[in-house]
Amino acid sequence: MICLLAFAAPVYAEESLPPSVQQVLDSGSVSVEEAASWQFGDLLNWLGELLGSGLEHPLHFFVQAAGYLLLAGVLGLLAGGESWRKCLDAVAVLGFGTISLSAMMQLTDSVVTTAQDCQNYLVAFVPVFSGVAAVGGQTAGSLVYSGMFFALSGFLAGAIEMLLLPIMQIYFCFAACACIWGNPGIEEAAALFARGLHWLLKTCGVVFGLILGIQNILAGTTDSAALKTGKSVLQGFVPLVGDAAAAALTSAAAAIQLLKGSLALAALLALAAVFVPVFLHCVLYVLAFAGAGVAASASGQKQCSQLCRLYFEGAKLCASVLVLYFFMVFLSTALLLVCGNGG
Amino acid sequence: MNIDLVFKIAATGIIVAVLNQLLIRSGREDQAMMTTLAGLIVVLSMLVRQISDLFVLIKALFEL
Amino acid sequence: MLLFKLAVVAFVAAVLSLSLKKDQPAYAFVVSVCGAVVLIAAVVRQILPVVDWLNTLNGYLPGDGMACLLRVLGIALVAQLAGDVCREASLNACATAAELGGRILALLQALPLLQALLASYAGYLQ
Repeated sequence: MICLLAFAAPVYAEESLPPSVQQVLDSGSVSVEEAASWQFGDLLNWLGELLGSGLEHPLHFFVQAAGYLLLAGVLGLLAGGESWRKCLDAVAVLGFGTISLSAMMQLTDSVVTTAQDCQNYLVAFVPVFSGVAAVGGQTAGSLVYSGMFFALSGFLAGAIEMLLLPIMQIYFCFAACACIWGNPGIEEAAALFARGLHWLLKTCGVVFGLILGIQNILAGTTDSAALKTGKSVLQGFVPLVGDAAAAALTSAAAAIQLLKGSLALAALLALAAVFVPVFLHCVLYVLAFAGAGVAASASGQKQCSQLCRLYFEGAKLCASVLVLYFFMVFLSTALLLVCGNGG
Repeated sequence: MNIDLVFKIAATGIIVAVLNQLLIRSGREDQAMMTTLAGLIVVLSMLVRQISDLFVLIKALFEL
Repeated sequence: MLLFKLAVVAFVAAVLSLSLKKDQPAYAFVVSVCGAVVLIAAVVRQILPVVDWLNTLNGYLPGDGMACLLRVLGIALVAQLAGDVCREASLNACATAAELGGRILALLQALPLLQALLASYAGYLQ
């Protein structure tokens, strides 16, 4: 509590923020003051800029896939005879599998790179944010943030790179094999595998959310209790100036809260700028595979449509991985921002 | 579209058939057989030229 | 229109072939083969502009997926023609052999694709 009083005084001199805090505030394409005064239209514009950057890959892929499938369908009609059509289907699946596999490998690589970039950003951001939070009186909360959350996010990023990436790649290769071979058992296995991964990701999300939420709430109550106790100590034991000191402590805490808010907003903008394009890639690939599946079934090619279905699930999994990571980061930052300073 | 090729081959066939009947009736069966064979060779040469044209076209079209 | 001309050609070839069948079956067979060849040549000439247009689109599709498909179609066409011609002359064994050869060659066309796919697997799963 003495530390609170000791730190409260230097915080008054807020014209000069520590350099690391200033760096975090300045990094990112949009400045925090601008973003804080955004209207809905400005938000849409910013999103639109992020979108336009990497949009052509999924669109290109969709055009290729749809054209290829339609052509294969038309040629299958022309070939005539059941066995010739099967021949043509086999060749079409091979070609389509090659296209989709390379696209999906690029997608998984970009997901892993995004997670790594986010983690690198967090390595710089978390000490700054938890330092500011500690100065503002949320010692327990900042401990949770720089301890548990940072460890969890590092673990998740590492898990994404070491574990999930090979698993996803194996899944895609396996799905392509299954469809080319045409054995229904293997396709069932691939679908089951996708469902299992989905369930695992959802469970991880729930567990992480619970852990971080509970810890933050506990830390928040501790911190607000500490702040209230500090104020009552000031008011009770220091005569005359006690009330003024208590009021100064409250205003210092509020100023810190504002700084924390801007830091959190800056971090959110920076992370969103990294995350939103890749997430949109995933979503567009999901849509592209759904559309290609429709085209394949329309032109009567069962193997190709099954390949599209399996890759649709796979792209959804990639999107879920990204969502899980970003959700964890966002939830924990928001919790630290909101909990605490109840006094 | 050279439909006249079909007519040519059919005409050769009919002529050969008629000659065949005449030669068989007048007892020269070996000459009948030789006429048939000669007509067949002529017709085959016409057909093979047409078939090779078709295959060149298919080869150019499908890049085989 | 071309369709009517094709129908007329088929009809004429059928009549001539049937009239020669009893006396000179070899000529009847040659007439029917000639009719088939003329019909196919007419149809293939119609497809020419479409295939040229597809080849201009080839820049969008990666690798030779589309060229492979077209080649398989061409092989299917020729093998089917050979098989039917043999069957017409009641050479069922030859017909089966021709169609089998066609199918094997068609699948061989897909071999480079399969090799590319396996090579990419080996690369990704390192």
